[in-house]
Amino acid sequence: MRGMSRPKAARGRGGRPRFLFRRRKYCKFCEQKAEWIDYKDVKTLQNYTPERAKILPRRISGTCARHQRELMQAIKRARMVALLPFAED
Amino acid sequence: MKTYETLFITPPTLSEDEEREAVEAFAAVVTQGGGSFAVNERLGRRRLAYPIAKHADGVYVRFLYDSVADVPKELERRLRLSDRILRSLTVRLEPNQAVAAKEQAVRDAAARAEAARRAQEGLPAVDAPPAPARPERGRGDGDAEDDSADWESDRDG
Repeated sequence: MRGMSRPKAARGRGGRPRFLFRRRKYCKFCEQKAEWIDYKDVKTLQNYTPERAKILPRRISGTCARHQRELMQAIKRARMVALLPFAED
Repeated sequence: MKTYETLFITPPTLSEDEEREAVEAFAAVVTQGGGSFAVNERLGRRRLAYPIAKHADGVYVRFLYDSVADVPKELERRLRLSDRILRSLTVRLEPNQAVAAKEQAVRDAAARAEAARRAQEGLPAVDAPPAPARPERGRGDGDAEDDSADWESDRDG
């Protein structure tokens, strides 16, 4: 897993490479060896949904691929049962 | 036999009796279908993240059970038809999740029993069980400014 993102090669994006954020190095779920991300665990889930109730991308939150998928599923389920909002001002 | 978890929401406007009847009726669907409960708990009233059917709060009930596939299907069917249910969600748990969920339920129950025992003996309560479990006690009824991650639970066990 890459620690720091390299500037991407220009690919029709306007040519100029941008420096992306360095993502924090570790996945908290991996660190805890969490077996399972529970959609009912609103406290934890809220850490990953900032303003406007969006889901944080991996490059910001630092979660690993597998846990990001599980996290997304959990957040979406939580939204369905009104434990988390779909959108917020 | 697979493990399923069903969560459903009832309006806060139901009387205790109505609510209890409804929950028992749904629980019966499970047991009659040959399912075995691991958990049947009322998580309590909670502020909804968005209004459902014009309600701002709802009462959450959770079933965790093992059964064959017909049971959740029938249960879901009834939940959808019921006019006392605002929303429901049924999930099938992966084996590792199922095990984890059941163990957590056992721990929660033990912690609640422990808390009750300590309260009886007049000892200070030990800290709430760590990590993913929600806090044990609520802070009163429909508190609008509350920390939205709190459950109000009537199970002080």
